[in-house]
Amino acid sequence: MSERRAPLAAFKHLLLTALSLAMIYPVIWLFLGSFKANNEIFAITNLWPSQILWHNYADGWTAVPGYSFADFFMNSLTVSFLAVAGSIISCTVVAFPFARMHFPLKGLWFSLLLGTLMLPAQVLLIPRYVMFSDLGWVNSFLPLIVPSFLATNAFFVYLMIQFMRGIPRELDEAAIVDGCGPFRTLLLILVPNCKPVIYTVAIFSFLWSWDDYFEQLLYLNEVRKFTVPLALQMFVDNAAQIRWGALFAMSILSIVPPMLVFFFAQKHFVEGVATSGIK
Amino acid sequence: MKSKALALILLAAAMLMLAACQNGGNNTQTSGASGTPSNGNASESGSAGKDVELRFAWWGSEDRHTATLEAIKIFEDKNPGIRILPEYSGFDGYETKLQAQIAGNSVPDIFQSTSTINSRLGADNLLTLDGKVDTSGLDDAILAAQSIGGKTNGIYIGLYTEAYAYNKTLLDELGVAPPTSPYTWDDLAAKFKEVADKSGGKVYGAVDSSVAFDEFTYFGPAALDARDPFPNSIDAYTFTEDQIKAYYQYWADLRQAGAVAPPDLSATSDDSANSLLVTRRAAFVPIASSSFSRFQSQTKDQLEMIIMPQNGDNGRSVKPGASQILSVGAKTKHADAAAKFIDFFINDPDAAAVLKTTRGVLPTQAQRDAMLADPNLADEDKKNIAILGEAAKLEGNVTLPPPAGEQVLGWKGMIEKVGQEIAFDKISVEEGAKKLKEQAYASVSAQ
Amino acid sequence: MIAFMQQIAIIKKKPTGNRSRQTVAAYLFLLPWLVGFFGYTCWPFIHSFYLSLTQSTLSETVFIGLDNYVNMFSDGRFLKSLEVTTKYVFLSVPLKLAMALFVAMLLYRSSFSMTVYRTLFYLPSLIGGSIAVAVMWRQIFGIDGLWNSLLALFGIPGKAWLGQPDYALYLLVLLVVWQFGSSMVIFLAGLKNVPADMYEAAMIDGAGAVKRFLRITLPLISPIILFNLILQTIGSFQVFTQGYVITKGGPMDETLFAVLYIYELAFKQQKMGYASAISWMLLVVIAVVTAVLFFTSKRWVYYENEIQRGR
Repeated sequence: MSERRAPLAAFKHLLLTALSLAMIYPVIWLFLGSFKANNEIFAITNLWPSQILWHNYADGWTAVPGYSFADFFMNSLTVSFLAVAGSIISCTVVAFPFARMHFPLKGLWFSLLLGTLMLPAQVLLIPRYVMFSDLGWVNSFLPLIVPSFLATNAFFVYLMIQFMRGIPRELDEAAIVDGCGPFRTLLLILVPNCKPVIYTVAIFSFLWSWDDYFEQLLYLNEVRKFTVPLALQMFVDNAAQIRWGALFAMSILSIVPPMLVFFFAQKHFVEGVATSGIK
Repeated sequence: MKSKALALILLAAAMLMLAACQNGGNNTQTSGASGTPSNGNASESGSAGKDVELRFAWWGSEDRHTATLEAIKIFEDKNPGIRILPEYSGFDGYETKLQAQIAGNSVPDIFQSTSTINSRLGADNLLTLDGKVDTSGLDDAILAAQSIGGKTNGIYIGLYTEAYAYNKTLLDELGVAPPTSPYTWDDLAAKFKEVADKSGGKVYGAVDSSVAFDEFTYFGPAALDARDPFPNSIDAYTFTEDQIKAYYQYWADLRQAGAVAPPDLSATSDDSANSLLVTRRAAFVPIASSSFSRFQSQTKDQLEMIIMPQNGDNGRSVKPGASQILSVGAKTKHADAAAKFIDFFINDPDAAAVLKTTRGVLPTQAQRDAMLADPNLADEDKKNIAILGEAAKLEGNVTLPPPAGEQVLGWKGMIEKVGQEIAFDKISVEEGAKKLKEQAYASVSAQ
Repeated sequence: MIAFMQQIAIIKKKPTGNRSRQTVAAYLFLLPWLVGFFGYTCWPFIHSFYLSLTQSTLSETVFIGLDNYVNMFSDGRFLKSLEVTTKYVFLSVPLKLAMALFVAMLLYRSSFSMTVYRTLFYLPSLIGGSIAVAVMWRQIFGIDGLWNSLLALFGIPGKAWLGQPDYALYLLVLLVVWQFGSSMVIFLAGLKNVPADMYEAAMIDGAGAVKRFLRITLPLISPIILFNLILQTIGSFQVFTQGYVITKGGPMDETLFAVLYIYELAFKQQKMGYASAISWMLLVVIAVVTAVLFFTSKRWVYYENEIQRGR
């Protein structure tokens, strides 16, 4: 960096630091709270715990009788990983014709695609449950995974469509001239150029699946199949004591996997090699 | 490139099938309750005879889950042909899930509930338990209040009472003597004012119970000599405009005197971070006695409880309410076994020994006495049981769930919303009383 | 130049026999979505529309025609919920997107410190709607919380903000804007696709940072801006968790979001039919707003490969 840019850079860092502190203060509060005793957590006086109670983490880990959070993390990882795989594959495949091809009823399907986003999920809860119940899929992971393989999340499909439309058609045409059919064009030309958005879809589908409390509650009956959000809710009963420290501890731990996913994925969608995408 | 992608796809497909086989294929949990007849055989239990499998769902947190699982084990030991499949979770979403299960015809055989939840599920979806369970140890009036449609379809398994929790440490610091029972609503108002005065306005007497924490049910019999049923019967509201006006006025006067917290504070006082009791901004807060230990665990001050004020002339108040009930799904295939389990739950002393206070105080006096005799009983539990013993001796009305309504606000919503409008000075007490009465009465549906 | 002309010729020379083959190919690609749509989405949609014409509880369903739709306009709570939701959408969407774009522009260089900052800015979104967030938010904006301490520094008296009818909604807007991380991520992905050589060319021509932003960045990421705008709008109209978990619609219905009202109706009041009707009304509102956004977008959204060649 050249000399005259140094003060600008310093200002930028100052701004960013101030902003990030404001952003993560609540998380810091949560983190520090995970080491506090119950009667201290909501005390107004100090942010820092008077004693560091490491056992909150151990207590939280084994809070659900008969199981440990290891089980819940495994279940959540399985469900989320499969949801990611399903989303990436199906949404890429489905976005391709919208972005690149002409076919009858295209406008209709596109409007319906966006339309699926517009009805609140709450009213679709019961009909979907009845359907899965008739299929015998209740109390399994299937209702949580199979839909993602069918591109049911229009958010991702539309995101991919917008990205694909931004990729120059010359690349496609070049591939066709070389004798590629549509599938190979998709695989060899579009997918590599869509890396940023594919990683974005991965991050979001992981996170949304990881955090999805309601659907997981609805379709999982046995505690051994429970995922992390369900286990976290078990700390909170409407009458009994809440072990806040343990709850915060497990909440902090449950942030770790999505954070890791984000951390490793993010280098794929920031400025790296200066290229316009033409290989 | 192509083969890499292909491999990825195959891998994903393989994982999908693996997950499906592990978790999707077998539905041993849906014994007899799902729509398709070929699912859910109990044959994998391995024993010689066919075991009856009952799904039992409840909500709670760790203590209750541990205790319940132990109780289940005791039951299974005593009843070798019956297996209980536990399905437990947190409270959030529990009712929504039940409703979905009813629609999808996969309700658990036995499930924990409340009378309010059951009133939403509908009597047709609950099994009638008349004569199937020994309820001799339970209070008839309270039992009747837990059922919908006139038949016994909810057996209560724990009791609680509304109580005023107060911060004894704070009161001592301020030099205010705690109230002693029996006392009246006027006595209470005087206490609130005393707290506010002696603290120079820094500590409020209590939260404003017209804005949140609806205590109208208790105010009626004690301050207004209202008789059963109050404020509603099974299918209609019964309070008068004057009665609700007196209630709103009581709190308006206290607000004027600075003796209760302003509406924004009262509305945000919850059971944890913002509880005025925990943060020492108010000395008295009404709670359900079963949540006492939660509040106590969040502060270093000493907290105590006292039952709600009583009628100065005849000592009437309100009887304890059921903290939870057990109901059986109407379409269960094992009605007798389910009834047996409920019977065990409420009557067997071994069950009581493990369940303790995880569902509020145990229903029968005998069980309560047994618990008080336990030397290891925690202080909070002692207080809980003691206050319930006191409340159980009261003469009083029984609280019924609100009647089913056309209006789109439940009773609690209506009374609090109008209370907020009054407290935020949008309408007067008279207007508010009129409005609430009209709304409530109009809300009851014709069915 | 010659190669360029050849490309044009190829593009223009589309053999007509390909049409039907392309249709078949397109539908093959669409197959997963069609299965998902007809299997997973279509039936519940139709069922919910049918329910909207009925009065429905768990025990029985009675057909009542358009009554639900007629009644909703005299339902004060419904109208209030529309007002609350609209206010929320018009406040939170622009704020969130502006923040997200601003921060994305600051952070799209690749370097270690930027990586750290990006993670920190994304962190709030990771906490989502968990119980922990609700407790935290209520604590921070409670009467004894951090926010009041900050205000005290400026001499502003503290209040229990979440209990104040006039302010509670703005706090929820703040919560959502605080979680701008997901929009930021999408902008970052979009910014990567802006070719660096365009910036270089512009800098050589003497364009300053603002001009580069307005003339190069904005147009080239306009498809992504549109995406974020549309999806954030659709999503914001359906805001639920924040209202459900933090304020429960209060105080005095000032945070009664439409979907919160729908949820209450469906699951707490056993009015599934009416709840479905309101959902469909909401869908109409969302569809109209989305359509308007789409139509006006033609004036400011550019798709690179669809721009006229030879520019």
